[in-house]
Amino acid sequence: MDWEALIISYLFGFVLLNVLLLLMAYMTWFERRLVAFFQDRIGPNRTGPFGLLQPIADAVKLISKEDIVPANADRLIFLVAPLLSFVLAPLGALVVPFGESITLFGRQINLYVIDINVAALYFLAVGSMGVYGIILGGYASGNRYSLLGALRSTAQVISYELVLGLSLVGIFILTGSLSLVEILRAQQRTLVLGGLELPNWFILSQPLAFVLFLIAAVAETNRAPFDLPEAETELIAGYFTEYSGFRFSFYFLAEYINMIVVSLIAATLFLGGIDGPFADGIWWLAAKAFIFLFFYVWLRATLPRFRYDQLMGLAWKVLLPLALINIGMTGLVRLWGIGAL
Amino acid sequence: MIDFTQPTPVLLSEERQITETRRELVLNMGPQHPSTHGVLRVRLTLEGETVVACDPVIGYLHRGVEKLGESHRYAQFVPWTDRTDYVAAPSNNLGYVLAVEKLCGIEAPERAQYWRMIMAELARIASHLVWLGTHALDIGALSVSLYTFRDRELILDIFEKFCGARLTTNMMEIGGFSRKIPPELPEMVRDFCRYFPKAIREYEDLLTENPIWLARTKGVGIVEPEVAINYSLTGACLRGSGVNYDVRKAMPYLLYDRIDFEVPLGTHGDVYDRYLVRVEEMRQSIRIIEQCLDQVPTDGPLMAYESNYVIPPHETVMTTAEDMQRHFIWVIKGFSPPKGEVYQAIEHSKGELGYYIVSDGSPIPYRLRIRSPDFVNLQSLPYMAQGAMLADVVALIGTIDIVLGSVDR
Amino acid sequence: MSDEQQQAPVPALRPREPWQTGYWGPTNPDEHPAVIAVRARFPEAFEEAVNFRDEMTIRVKREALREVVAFLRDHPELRYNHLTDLTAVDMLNLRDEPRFDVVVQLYSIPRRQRLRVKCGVNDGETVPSLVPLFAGANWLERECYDMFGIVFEGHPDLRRILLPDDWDEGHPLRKDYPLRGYRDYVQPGFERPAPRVRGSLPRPRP
Repeated sequence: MDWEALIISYLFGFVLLNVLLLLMAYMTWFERRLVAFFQDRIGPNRTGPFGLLQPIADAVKLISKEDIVPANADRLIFLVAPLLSFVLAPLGALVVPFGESITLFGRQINLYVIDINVAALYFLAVGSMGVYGIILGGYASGNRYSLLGALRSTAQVISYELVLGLSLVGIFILTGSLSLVEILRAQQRTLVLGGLELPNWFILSQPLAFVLFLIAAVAETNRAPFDLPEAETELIAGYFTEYSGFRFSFYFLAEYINMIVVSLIAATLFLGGIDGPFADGIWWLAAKAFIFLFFYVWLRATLPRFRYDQLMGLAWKVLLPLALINIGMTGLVRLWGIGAL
Repeated sequence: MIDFTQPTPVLLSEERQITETRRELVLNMGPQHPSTHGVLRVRLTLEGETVVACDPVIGYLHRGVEKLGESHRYAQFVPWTDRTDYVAAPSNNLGYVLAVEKLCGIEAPERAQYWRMIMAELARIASHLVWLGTHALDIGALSVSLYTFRDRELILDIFEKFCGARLTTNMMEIGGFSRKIPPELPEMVRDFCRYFPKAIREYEDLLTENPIWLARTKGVGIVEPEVAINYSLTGACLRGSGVNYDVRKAMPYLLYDRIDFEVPLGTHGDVYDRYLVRVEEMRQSIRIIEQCLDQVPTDGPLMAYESNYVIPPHETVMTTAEDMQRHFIWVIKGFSPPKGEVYQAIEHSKGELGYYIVSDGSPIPYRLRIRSPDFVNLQSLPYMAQGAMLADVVALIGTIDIVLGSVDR
Repeated sequence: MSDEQQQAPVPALRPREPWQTGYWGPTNPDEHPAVIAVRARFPEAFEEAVNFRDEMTIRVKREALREVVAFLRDHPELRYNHLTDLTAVDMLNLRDEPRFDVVVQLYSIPRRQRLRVKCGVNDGETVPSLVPLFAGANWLERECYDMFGIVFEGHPDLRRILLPDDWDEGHPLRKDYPLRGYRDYVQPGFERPAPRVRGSLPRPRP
C-alpha cells in the first residue's frame, strides 16, 4: 500500500470538504442576493461589505438556537437523521477531478481524491443514500407534514434517480468507462464536425442526456420547481418542519452542498470539466459549475411548483422514455461507428 | 418507532387519529399555516395525497363586528369596516356609507362620488394585487408576490396622500368627504394609471403562459355555472364560471352607469379562469379610474351640506353658530335616521359586499349585518376540493380570495 | 350558456331620489309581481308586504318559508335564483311576538331584481332550512344558529361556525347578551380579571 499517496489523498479530501463548506456558506449568500435582484429587492447587505458576513451571522444564529426535540418524535432517529444527510452530501465531490496532477514539493499530487472505476455509479449511490436522512428525519419527527414530505421525497428519489442514472448511460457507452477521470480525458480531445473544430464535450454529442440530467438533478436535490418534500406553502417545511437550530442547519447545509456537488459533476460530465478553450484548469470547472448554480437560483426565482402527481407523471411518462430512447440511439450510433452494424 | 396507525398520546381529540381500516390521514391545515391566508383552518382527510373530505373551520379572527356595530353610533362604525377586509378598506367604507346614506335618504355630491369610485377601484386593484401575489406564492412562484407588493405600495401612497393612512384608511364619510382633495392627487393617480398596465404585463409574462402554472391551475377546482349560483358565489368566483353578475353593471351604484367598462367572464370555471378574470378586472379598473379622472369636476362640494345627517364643514363650524350647534349635536348625540331597513350591495374586490341595516330610529343601528363576500364564497371550498390533491387545496384557498378579517368579522 | 345565467340589459334610469333605483321592482306592493304571485299562491302563509326606500319585503309564516323561497326560485316569471344573504334580527326591544326575524335576501340574476323575504320565529321554534334549495345557505344558517340560536330544521350540519364548538355562553347577537359577555376572563398581566360585564350606558331611545 502506498501510504504517502493515501495520506495525500486524505489531506486533499480534507481540504476539499472544507472548501465545500465555505462555498456552501457563500452559496447561501449568493442565492439570497441573486433572488433579491430577481425580485427587485436588495438582499442581505448589512453584515459586512455587500452582506458578505451574513453566512457567518447565520451560522452563529443557528448554532446558538435551542435544539428542540418534539415529544412525539422518535428520539434517536430524529437526532441522527440530519447528520446522515449532512455526512453523505459532500461525499460525491470526492470523485470529481479538478485536474490531472501537479508536482508539489517533489511529489506528484493527483488533483482528485480518488479515481475509482465506478465513480459515476458511486456518485449516484451516495446521492440516493443522502435521501435516507430526509426520509428518516421526516418519519421520526412525528408530524404529519413531515411524514408527507418524507413520502414525497421517497417517491421523487425513486423516480428521478432512475432518470439521472439512465441519462448518463449514453456517456458510458461513448467513453467505455464509468470513471470520471476517464470521462474527463475523453472530453479533452477535439471533435471535428464539418470542418469545425469543437471540444468533444458531451453536451454536444449527448444534448438530450444533458437536458434530462439537468432536470433530474434539480429534482434530486429537492430544489424548485421540484421542491415538493419541503414545499413550504403546502407542507410548511416538509421533512424539517420540526427541526430547529443546528440540526436544521445540517439539512440546510446538505441541500446546498448537494447543489454544489451536482453542479461540479454536471460540469465534469457534460461541459468538459477543467477543459477550456485556453489555459485549462480548475477555473474553468469553477466557471461551469457557477453557471449551473446560477441556473438553480434562476429556476427558484421564476417557476411555480409542480404538483406531486404531475411530478411523477413527468418522470415516468416523459423523462424515462426519453432517456431510454437516448440510450438506444447512442448504442446504435456506437455500433455503427465501430462497424458492427 | 412511531406507529402512525395509533392515536398519538400527547395530542388530543379524535381528529388526530388515523382510521386504520380506511387508511386515511387527518391533517389539520392551519390555523398557523403559511398558505391559509391568516387563520383559516382546514380539516383535511387525506388518502395518500388525495383529499377525501375537507372541512373549513373558521372563526379564529371573530371579533364580533356586527355586535360592535349595534353599540356604536352610525358614524363611529366607519373605522370598524376597515378592520373587516383590511386589504381593501376603502371598498368596505364605501359599502357602509352607501347603506347609511340610503337609510337616511341623502346622496353625496357628484365630485365626491367620482372620487369614491376612484378610491374604490384603487382598493380593488390593491386587493387583487395582494391576491395575485399570495396566490402565486402558494403555487410556488416566489417572485410575483414581490412584484405585486411593490406596485401595491404606489396605491397605498395614493391613499396616504389622500387620507393619511395606508391600510385602515377610514376614508369615506357619510355624505361624502370632509377632507380636501390634495391638488397633486389627480396627477399621482394618473401616473399610476400610466405605469400599471406595464406591471400587469410583467405578472402575466411570469404566469399566464407558464406551463407549470397552467398545469397547476387548469382543470382544478371546476365550478359549473349552476353550481356557482347555487352556492351563492359572487365576484370573480361566479364570473369565472361564466355567470354575468357584477353589481357595478347589474345594479349600478355611485356613477358606474356613466362609465364604460367590460365585465370579464370565464368559460371553464377553474382556477385559471378565475385568475384571468381577476387580472382583466385590474385592467378594467384602470379604465374606470381614467374615465373618472376625465369626468370628475375639478371643484365643487365634496360633502352633502343641506342635511342633518352629515358633519358640517369645518369652516362654517368655526364661523356660524348654527353649524357649530349642528356639529356639536352630530358629534355628541349622533344622528337618528328614520325607522326602516336597507340592504346596500357593492361590488367588492372579492364579490358582493352587502350591508343590511335595521334602524329603530335611534342614533345606533338596531341590527347591522355585513354580508361579506368571502365568507359566502369560502363554503364552496369542500365542493371544489372533491378529489383534489393536497397541493390543489392551497391553490383553491388562493383562488377563492379570502381575507380572514372579512370571513370571521 | 342558458338563459338563467345571462341578465337583462341595463335600464336607462336616472332616479329622482337617491334611493329610487328600481332594483327592487315596483314600489307599490300591489303592483309587485312577486308579491302578487306569493299572495295568490300562499294566501294563508302570506302576512304582509312592506316597502321602505324602494326595497320590497315580503313577510310570510315561518312554516312556509322554504315553499315560498322555492316558489320564488322556480317561478318562470320571477326566477329569484341567487340567495344573496340569510340572516336574522332579534326584535326583543321592538315587539313582543315573535322574537326573531329571519331575513332572506334573494336576487334574480336574469331579471336583475332583489327581494327580501322575512319570517318571524320565536325562541325554541324551528325554521325550515333552505339548504335543500340553495347550497349557499349552509354556512349562512350555521352563522344564524351560532349568533341567534335559531334552529333550522333540515340543515345537514347545524353546528357553531364562528364561535368555538364548546362555546357555552349562549348566542351573542341576541339583544339580551351583554356586549362584553357573561363571564370574567383572566387577562395576563392583570391582577384581577377584567370585568366583562360592565354597567353600560343605557341605549338611547328613538
